Amino acid sequence: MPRPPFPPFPVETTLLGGGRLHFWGPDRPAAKVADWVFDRVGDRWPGQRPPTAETAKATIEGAAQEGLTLEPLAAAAALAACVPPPRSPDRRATSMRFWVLANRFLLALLSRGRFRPAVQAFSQRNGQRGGAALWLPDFASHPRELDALRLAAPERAFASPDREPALSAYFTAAGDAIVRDAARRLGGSGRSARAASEPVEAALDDLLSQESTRLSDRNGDDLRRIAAALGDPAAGGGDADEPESPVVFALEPPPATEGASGGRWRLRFGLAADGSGANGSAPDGPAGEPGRRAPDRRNDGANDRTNDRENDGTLLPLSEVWGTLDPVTNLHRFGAADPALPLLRALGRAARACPLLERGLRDEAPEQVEISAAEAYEFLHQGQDALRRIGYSVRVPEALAGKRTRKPTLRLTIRPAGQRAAPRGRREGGGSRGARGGLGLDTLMDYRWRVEVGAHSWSLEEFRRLTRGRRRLVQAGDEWVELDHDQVDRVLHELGRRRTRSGGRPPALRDALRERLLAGAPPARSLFDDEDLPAVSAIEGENWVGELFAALEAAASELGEASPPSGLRTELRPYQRVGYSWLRLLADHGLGGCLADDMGLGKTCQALAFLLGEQEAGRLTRPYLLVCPNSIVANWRKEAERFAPSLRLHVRQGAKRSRGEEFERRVAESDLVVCSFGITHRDFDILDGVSWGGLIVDEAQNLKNPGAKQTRAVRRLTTPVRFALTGTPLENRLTDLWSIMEFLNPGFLGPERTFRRAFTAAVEGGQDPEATAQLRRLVSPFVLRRVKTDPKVIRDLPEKHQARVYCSLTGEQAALYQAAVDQCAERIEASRGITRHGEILRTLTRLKQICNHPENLLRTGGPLEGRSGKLTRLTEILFEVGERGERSLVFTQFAEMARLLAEHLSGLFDREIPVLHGGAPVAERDEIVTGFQESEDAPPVLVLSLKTGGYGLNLTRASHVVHYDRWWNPAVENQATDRAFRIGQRKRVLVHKFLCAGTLEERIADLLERKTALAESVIGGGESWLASLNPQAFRKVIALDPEAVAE
Amino acid sequence: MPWWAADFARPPRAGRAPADRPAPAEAADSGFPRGSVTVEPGAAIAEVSGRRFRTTTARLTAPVLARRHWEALFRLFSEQALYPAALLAGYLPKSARGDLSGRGVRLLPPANRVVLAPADLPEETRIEARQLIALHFAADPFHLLHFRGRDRAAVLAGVCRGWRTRRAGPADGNGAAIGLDELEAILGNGVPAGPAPARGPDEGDAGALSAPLRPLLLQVQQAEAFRGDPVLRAKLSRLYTKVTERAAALAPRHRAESPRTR
Repeated sequence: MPRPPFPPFPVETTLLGGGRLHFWGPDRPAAKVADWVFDRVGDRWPGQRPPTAETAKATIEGAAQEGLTLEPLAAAAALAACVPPPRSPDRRATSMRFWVLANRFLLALLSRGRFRPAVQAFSQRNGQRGGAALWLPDFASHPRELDALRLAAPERAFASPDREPALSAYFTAAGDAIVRDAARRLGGSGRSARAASEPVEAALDDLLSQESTRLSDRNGDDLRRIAAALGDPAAGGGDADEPESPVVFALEPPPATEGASGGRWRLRFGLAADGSGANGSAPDGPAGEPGRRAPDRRNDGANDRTNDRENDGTLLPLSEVWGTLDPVTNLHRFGAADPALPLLRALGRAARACPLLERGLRDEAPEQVEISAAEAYEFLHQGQDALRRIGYSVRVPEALAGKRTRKPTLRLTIRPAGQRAAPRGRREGGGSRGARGGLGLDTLMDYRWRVEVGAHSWSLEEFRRLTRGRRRLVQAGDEWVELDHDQVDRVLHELGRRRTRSGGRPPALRDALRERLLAGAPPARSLFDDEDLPAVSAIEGENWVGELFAALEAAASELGEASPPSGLRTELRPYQRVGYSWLRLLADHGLGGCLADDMGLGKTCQALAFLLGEQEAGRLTRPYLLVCPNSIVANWRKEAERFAPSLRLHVRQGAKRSRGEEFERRVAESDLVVCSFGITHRDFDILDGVSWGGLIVDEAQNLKNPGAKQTRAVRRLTTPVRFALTGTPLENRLTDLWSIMEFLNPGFLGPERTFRRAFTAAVEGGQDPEATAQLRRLVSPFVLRRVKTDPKVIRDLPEKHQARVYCSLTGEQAALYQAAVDQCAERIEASRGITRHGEILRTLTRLKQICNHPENLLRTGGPLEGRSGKLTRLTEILFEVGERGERSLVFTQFAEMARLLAEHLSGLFDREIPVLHGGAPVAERDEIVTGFQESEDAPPVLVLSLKTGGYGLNLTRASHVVHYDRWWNPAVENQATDRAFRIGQRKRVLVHKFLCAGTLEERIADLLERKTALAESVIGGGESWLASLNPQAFRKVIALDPEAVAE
Repeated sequence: MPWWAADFARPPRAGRAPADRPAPAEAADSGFPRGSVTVEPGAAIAEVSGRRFRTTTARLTAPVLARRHWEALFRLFSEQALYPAALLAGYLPKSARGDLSGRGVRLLPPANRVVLAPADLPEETRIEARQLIALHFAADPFHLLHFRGRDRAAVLAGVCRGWRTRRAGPADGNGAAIGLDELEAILGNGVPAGPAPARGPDEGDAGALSAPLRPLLLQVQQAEAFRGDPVLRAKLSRLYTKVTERAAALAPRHRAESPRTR
């Protein structure tokens, strides 16, 4: 059954003034229209009183039309009811259909919460004072819908030709009335019997009442306060509430061909693709509603939108907007019938924030502004941030986005001047001295500088040309980059400074190493002047220079373990192989190095291995000179004979040392010449006349005083390779370090004066970690130091390491020794049996006392220092051990020697050194042991009589044991050693067994070592077995080797 | 103070010695003047709030711009987008003064044609009134243009008319340019939810309005009179039950929390 039409006759709906709607039928009586409307609404009229069905006349299209006029609230209810039932023919007039749609839009706004309280001031011209509070539907933030309503409105929908304000008036009046009615239902109406005196409170009351009456007595000031309290943006909301604008500003560099010659940049204005078109919003909020936030149709956050938009390459030029004047087209394309005004407002806001844009707006239809490179720079630094802050999107070339200013840095490529061939012949299996001999710190280098900005790189000439005129934006290939001119100045200044500093001198390997090692170091005070270190980002080496850089910067352990030379008579531990490789690396490049391993880790062994390696590689065509303290000359001789017997050794020692042709001959026949610091100084002219293969200084801490004669003499010797050996830490005594480095690599750390200025106070004071780091970077490739506690080293070490310490005799000792030997020979030959036996034992004792110290025999009470090689060496060792905070036990079989040692050491350490001997009472002995073992202030050394101290004591606090003289009975010596090497000991124990080279001490030790089994069988009783030797054999044992005598 | 408003803040040449009267800037800094300003063509009326809540009305008058001046202004403003753009953004570039002057338009009235009445106003009130008016003009140059004869709508209409004439485009589409079906489609995209429903009853600084708004919104949503609309009904049907319960629960609570009863 067909449904009746809806309505049964056409009904027009026309908006009158004040938001009232007039329902009328052109061909029907007004009463019929009113009845039909009342039927539709039934009893659902809102408000306190339903409207009456009285009809009225209204002038529409110039004619009076009678119909039903409804106030906004009732009109809204009527329109809501004017919806045809399903399947009913729609016979509504277009004006009614229009208003039903408009009303639906209003109701949708209200039902979704899009209304807010506001306040409106009355115009004084009308004689009204004060203003009114009202509920304002948020229709203004839907300009597209409003424009669509305006464009779709049929003629009869409005009585007035001014449609837009009329439409707004209806929305405002109806919206306000609907909300107030809802408030009434909540009981809001009439809540306050008296007028609130406080303006905001009064406004609230007003908003919840049926009619707005309470603000009529409020002045403008009050109204502004109310508006602010209500959150009305018209009360002074700032830019923070502005909607994000779809206007995009895109900075475009000039074409590549113009860029270098200062072409014009363009700042284009456009619309983001997602901010335009049928689904987009108007370019900005409505002109009449500044600060109103447009409805957010996207759910993501503002930042994401900005980023998306800024990354979106599509930019709709504004010419599209300016060029289209048809409102319908505009509505579909830009979401507004007339997008020009909102767009102008958006541009105006932008120009206010970024005045640079004003020039572009001088056109009637602005699309872009041309700007200079300087202005582009200004835009990048200020303009774009200002625009972004107020919600605009800005596109800039990718290279100029983000962290904009790029710091130019210098990249240095270093290669050997003239592309010198690699220094090594070693890997090629041969090698010539020429290749080695030609390299060193003075080897000339070729520097190639380039300036880098990000991924771009220019030669110096190109860069100077590019930055001429202090241009901040420069073109690099297809990209533009922004330069920090302070940095540009710094770079150019740095280059100039380097040139000035070098005085035009071509760079050498010394300079190259310094550059490389300091590259990337924190800018501490410079080693060479007062300025900051250079802005050099990278320093690379080409050819063998690059390999050298890599090798020097690698951790020592990464150097690899070279195979030790076949002639070495001992097995190198892994860390010693590393040391051996390191010495070879430095020697290959003519560089000096300091092997600074802890005492007992085998520095001598590594140095001997190096020399043997040179010999086996055929590079030892010139002898090495080894300079060391007099006290260890003998030790070197013995160690070389023992571990590297193929090395031909010449010890230059004693008053009768060779000179002239004999010396030249002996040198020519030697691979290694050993001499003391004193001899080096005294025989400098002789030694300097020799063409040495290299120079090794043992106990190099003796060079710490740069002004000392011996230091100067050693430094003046001309040698291609220099090594220093020392167990004394170097880090904390910077002048010592400088002195040793100056010996190793002259000039590398600069003059002493500037070194002191740069580092001494900063590093020694411990207040400048950057200076410390810088110094460490400079020095570390040339110092190899391993300590016994290194995990990599400790696993290679035995729990107890025993080492012979060979000492020389002083002249006095040698004379006494020789006299004793001569006397003994006569007596032994003249005696027989038990008498001879006794004579031998007496001689043995006397000779051992002489080896210990002349005073041990003579007891004259004379001074101790300088009269015994053993005492000198002992002093050196104990001092080094004490420096590291470790403790030592010194055993001697002579009570008198024990007393002398204690006296001497007390003076050395400036404190009492206790002696544990058989004559001491038990209580005193206990006190000494307890004090040494437990006291915080325990002495660094404890001197013990072998027989007394060798049993039952627990002295595990000591990690060094010195056997000052030998008992020739391993069991007895081990018993003594075990005072320290026993349960409770946490450190490795180093046992120093002192021997005077070239005397009976050395020979007996050799004898015992060679015939251990025999020795164990015959010497169980100590030295008595010696008495059974025949006179000739005994004389051989006790004879004095002339080389045993120090100078 | 921007250039287009600064002249109005200047004290009159005659009067008390400068040392005796507060400088306008100081007056503003010290928290006064207080009051409000309304503008009509040729007049700006300042209501100056004085001591003891007494309000004094001062009227600043000046001749409005002649029609030919307005036409010249519209021409300039339609030739250079900068000016309408700046106006809409709440400012006027300094170049406007010179550009308008070049076309014979004095945007700012001559000082001798500006009259502040009544003449017997105390000097302090005169200064305050001028300051209020200057601040009002500074806030929006449309106020100045209104003072000179045309309100915002008229100015924009004039500029747009000139602009459209220059662009030789079609006239304003004042008529049923789009059909109702199309309108329905555009409106049918719906209105996104506003912020109010998202807030719970106890969230935020409820302050003066958030509490009354919430039940009010619910009440609006369930308004019987408007539920005949099928679109609205569809949107509200799911919410109805829940909303009714919440409205009942929230209403008394809101009253208890309202600033009036606090």
